[in-house]
Amino acid sequence: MHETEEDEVIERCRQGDLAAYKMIYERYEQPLLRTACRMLGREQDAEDAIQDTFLKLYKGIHGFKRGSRFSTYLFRILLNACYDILRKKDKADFKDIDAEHLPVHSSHEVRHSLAEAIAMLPRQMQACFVLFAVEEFTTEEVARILGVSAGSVKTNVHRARQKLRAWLSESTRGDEA
Amino acid sequence: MSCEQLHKYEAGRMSAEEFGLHVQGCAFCRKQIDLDARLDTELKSLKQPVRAPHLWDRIEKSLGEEQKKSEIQRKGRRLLRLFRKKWFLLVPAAAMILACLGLGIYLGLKQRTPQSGILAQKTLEKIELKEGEYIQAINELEKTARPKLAGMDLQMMSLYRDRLAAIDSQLERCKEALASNPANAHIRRYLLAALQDKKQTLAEVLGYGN
Repeated sequence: MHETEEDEVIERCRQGDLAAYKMIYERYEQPLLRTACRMLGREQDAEDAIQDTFLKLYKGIHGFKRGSRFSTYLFRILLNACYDILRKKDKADFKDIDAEHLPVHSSHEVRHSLAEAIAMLPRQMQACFVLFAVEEFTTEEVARILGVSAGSVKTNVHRARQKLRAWLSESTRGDEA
Repeated sequence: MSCEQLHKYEAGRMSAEEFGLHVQGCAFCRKQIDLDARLDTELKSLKQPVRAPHLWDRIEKSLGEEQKKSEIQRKGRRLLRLFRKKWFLLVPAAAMILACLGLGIYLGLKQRTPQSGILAQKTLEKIELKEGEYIQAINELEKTARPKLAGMDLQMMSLYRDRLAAIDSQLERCKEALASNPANAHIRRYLLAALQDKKQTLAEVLGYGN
């Protein structure tokens, strides 16, 4: 979907055209699902977050400024929906888990447990890392989505990398043992 | 365990060339670079598609419900706006409604005025006919009772005559009242009671001494 095409779709969304919302869904389904899965850890929760995202998008589409980047706006809504779910699940007080406390798995489980390890990162760090390293948004885009400074995004991504490297190192050691 | 050079490089305070030279002699940094490469590979694998086959159906349903809800709210707001702008147009309409309502209530009440004391014309005619027959029958009864009354001892005769005279006086008053207000059911009830009283008294006279 080109930018002008996206603008037209957004205009149709403003008029309440559900088919236009479906086009948005089809365009962003995978990145939204992946991000929500990484943030929440469970696919069911991720689906709830996306449903909530579209409902909030429907209610707030008139507040979206023309000329702004839509993906940034949409992901901002998604992350807020994820935070709401986390708060409901009483996970609001996310612990800053040290690398040595992250789960250790054998190599064939690495992919699954990397997702778990990401889900256990502190919330802000997790969001910065998922958007930057998994969904490949730029530092500035992540900063706009999360409403923080670019410097804060860089620091969080750097610390997340450190933790995940340490966790990967521990996993490998566990595997070798 | 950590390496200051790695921090510098990651913070952008050291060039890639400088760090490359440093890595050749630093086992820790070499390992971190290996882990970084592995982490990047693993991160790519996290980009595999996530399946959610019925998600759009759920979203569409909730958006549809929201659409209906906001449509109702919009109509309500429009009506409120119209009322705020054109409320003065509603004053004559409201006055008309109130007038109609008042008239309806008045007519309803008028129709439902209690009629317990007033008899309808047809009923009145029937009653007058039956009353006439009843009075005639009592008069005949009185004729029959008169010889018996005359044959009573003086004290009893005087007692019954006084009683009959009182009843007749009551009957006269009722008839006078009915002459000016024939549809008054209360007076008719008094008249009937007096007639029954007279009938009872005459029956007592006829039964006296048997």
